[in-house]
Amino acid sequence: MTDQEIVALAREGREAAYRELIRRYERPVFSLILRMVRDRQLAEDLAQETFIKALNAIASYRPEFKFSSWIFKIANNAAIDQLRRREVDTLSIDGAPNATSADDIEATALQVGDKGETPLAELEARELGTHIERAISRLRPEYRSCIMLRHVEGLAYEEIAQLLDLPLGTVKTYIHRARHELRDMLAHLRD
Amino acid sequence: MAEAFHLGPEELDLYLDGRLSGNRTSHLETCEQCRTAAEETREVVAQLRALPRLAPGGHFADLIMARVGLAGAAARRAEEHFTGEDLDLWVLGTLPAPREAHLRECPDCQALADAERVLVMRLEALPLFDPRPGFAERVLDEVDLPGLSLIGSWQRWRRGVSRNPLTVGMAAGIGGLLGGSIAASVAWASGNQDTISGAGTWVMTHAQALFWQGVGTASLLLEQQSWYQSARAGLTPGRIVAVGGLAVALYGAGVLALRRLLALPAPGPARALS
Repeated sequence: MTDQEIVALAREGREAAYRELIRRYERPVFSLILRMVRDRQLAEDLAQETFIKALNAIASYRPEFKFSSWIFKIANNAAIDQLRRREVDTLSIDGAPNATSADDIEATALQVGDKGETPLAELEARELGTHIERAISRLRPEYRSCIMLRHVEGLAYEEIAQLLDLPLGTVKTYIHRARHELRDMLAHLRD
Repeated sequence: MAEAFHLGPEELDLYLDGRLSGNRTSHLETCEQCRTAAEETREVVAQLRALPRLAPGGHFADLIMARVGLAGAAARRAEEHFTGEDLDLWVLGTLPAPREAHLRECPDCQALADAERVLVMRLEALPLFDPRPGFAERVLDEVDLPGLSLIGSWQRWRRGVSRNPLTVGMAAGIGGLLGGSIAASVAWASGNQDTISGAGTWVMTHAQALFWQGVGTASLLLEQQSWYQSARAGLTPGRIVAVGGLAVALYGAGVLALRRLLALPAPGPARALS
């Protein structure tokens, strides 16, 4: 079933359709926000706020646009607004800036790395993930959202431009610069 | 003589454009030959304008560019190092041949392209994170589902209450109080049936007396009004039926108007959402 069909059912008030939309997008939306604000609790609140806003406005959603673009737009706006308000700038890959106890740090830290096949592979994957997450967190927020939308969510440049209300050329520039910065930051990992 | 004044090809053009001078236009009205020529020309032009536009083959622009001055520009581009756009195309596997040629010969760009591909692969392999369990429930508690049924509302309210220990405690307290008071009432009533029966009889007797006293007082007050006698005299059976019919019609019209007023609006064009 396509997103548009599920949205049509949601507009009729079917709770199951709402649940399906949440199920499909909770991970991508939460991940995007988490990588933007780098605070698990804050990301949880913002992701929740994103879905509440989107689902309460489902009647005004225009079906000619992709639902994914719409929800990512709301999520990105929520994250950017939060960053502007609080300027969360500490690397919370090691836990949220306000995390004081060991439990808080554990609860708010990004969980990176796959379940590796071997302990060595797992260690490498975790290390690699950590470096990449650190590098991403050092990007400017506008670069970060562009690079996430492009390479984690797989959106086209045109979709990102529409979603972020930016000219296409600006989006390309942001992504190229972001990749350039990431390459530089991760250069020491090569070979 | 008249043939010397026939319209030439340039004048036919002017005529078709609506720019032919007045005296030459009046010639058309009298000259069958020129009128026929003008109509035939107009028809040919109309047919030409109706011809479909044909699209060239897919590589038309590339072929043109290869044959004009851009070939020089492409050659210059072939010497330039990779840009962000080139890297995009390289990752997608759609790099043009001249740039591929540059890549084969330029170690700097090769290193850059390899690093780019590795980076993109790493980015695309980044994991997605899960929010805490119960995320959907927490969202749905705050969402106003359109046309929610009474059962749905009750279930939502119950979910909301059951999640908060304070509200659970309050609800349990209220439930205990209500249950306790009902049980106490039943226990007391079963032991004091005579008292309840006596009180019921007393209440019913006094209520009846009060009701009929009220009816009598209202009738007396009505009869004392100045308009009462004339109104009573004027109330013929026909008028009663007419007034009753009018009242029923007004009531029906009022109900219909209210229904229209309270009806949900038909779905209109979707609004833009920022």
